[in-house]
Amino acid sequence: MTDFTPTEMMTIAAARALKNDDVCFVGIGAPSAACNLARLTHAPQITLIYESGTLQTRPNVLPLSIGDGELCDTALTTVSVPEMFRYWLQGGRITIGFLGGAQIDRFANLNTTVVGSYDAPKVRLPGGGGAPEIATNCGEIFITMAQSPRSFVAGLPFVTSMGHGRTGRERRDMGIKTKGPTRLITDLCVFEPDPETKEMSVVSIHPGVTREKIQENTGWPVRYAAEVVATPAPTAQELEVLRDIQARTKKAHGGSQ
Amino acid sequence: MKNKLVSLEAALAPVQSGATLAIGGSLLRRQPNAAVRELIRRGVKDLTLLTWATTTATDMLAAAGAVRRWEGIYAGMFSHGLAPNFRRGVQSGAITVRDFSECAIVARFRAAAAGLAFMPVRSLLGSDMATRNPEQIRPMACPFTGDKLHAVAAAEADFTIIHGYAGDRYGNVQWPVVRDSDDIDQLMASGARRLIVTVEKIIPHEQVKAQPTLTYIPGQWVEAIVEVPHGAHPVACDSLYDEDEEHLRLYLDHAKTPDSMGSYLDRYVRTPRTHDEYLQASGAAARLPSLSVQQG
Repeated sequence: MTDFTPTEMMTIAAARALKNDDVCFVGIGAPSAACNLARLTHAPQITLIYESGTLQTRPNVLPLSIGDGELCDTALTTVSVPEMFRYWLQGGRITIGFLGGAQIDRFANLNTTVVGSYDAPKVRLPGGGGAPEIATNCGEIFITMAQSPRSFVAGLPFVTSMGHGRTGRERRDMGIKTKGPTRLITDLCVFEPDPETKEMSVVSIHPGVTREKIQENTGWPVRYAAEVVATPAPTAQELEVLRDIQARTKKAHGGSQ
Repeated sequence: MKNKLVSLEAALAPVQSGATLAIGGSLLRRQPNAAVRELIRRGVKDLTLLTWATTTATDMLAAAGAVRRWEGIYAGMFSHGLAPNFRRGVQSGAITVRDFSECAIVARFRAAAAGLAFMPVRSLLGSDMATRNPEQIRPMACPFTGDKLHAVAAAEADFTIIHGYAGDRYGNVQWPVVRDSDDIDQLMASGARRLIVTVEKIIPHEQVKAQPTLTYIPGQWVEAIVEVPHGAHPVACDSLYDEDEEHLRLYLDHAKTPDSMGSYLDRYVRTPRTHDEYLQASGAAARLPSLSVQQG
């Protein structure tokens, strides 16, 4: 087996979840690496959209921000940010939204706002950006985050972007027609929502990872689907393409990311 | 047409303590930092800020103890992490925060521009942004379908301050490209009551007229226009100059404690009497050629 890091496994597992005909709203960081890996391997026709309004973008290096010139230069066109949010996102033209966050709970709600109380927080984080509307308006949501007890928590101090709500019933109760988080890809495993309760349950475990390790890095009792499979290890091609784009990115941006 | 070209001091003189300001820019681009430094120099306090993705503008005002309340989508230092002074202000309880999503803040400025008290959004269903802010975000049912929505209150700023590329003395402001990306400055301008624009360059009216499709902000909306070359420093102004990473690192080094941040403000904001003196003091003047994107 080729050597690979847990982060590479996470990015590759996330990339595999994407299809050629997806229209994907891409966040910076891990989602961006996964989406471009998919585009450069099995999904060459995937439509990537960054929230800065760049449509069908095909960056040669990973962008540092949603406003990176690389995205505009390699896009079919760029629409203004208000237009992007009014007509593309709210208009229901995006099939997959790809999110990350500082903290997540067992119903895949995300927090990027505060640690501690809202009015006197222990840590004030930067805020939600466009994540709340990505979570409600995209056809379905993929989330990719590295697992740790600090980030996979039993109770969120603040729900920035709703996954399946605090009880798992909120989306239906609120009349939201989109599916919400259908896949959570971590550095250890892949979760999918239980069809009934909507609690995120492990469906696939990455090579070399144990159930104990998953539990140690999750702040709630982890549930497993009836059938749990082994995540196939990264192929040589997947690793080569991923490392190649990251090397190009590092060269272009002088070491950051 | 009325001449609206004034000095930075004159343009910002009407802004008093206690005002609500909409501040433009996005992340490390076109934050109206020269205007912000002028407000700090004047000792304006107790401000409510309405922003898109804000970095240096909000963090400097927070460092000066000038912010009472912030409403926006993001306040951080982007690739440099959290906004240290803003964060201290919020964590100490000095700054009250009300968070919005991108659609929600766009809707608030659209409402202001359209003369409506609110605009409906679907974005905040299930988000604590709504439950923690019943004053400005209220549940409503769609009058046609009965669907659950939220009404978000119009963004009513006393003053709107943005940094643009070029304009004429009558306040007509142009963008260098037909579709700019990333920020919502043009939308903020369309909903402004009193709009103050700093620009990199004042150009002849004839030049503005020669390319009418690039004029995004008509002079009728503008109260004052000011020529401030490198007015976004230490952040970037696309197509003209990149962010000054060296100065941003110096800023963040000082921002580690309130004391050292105080010396930063004294040295780089309060002591220089003009924007030119700031560019000299901050070392920006010497670095500007290397930050220029003309060759890129």
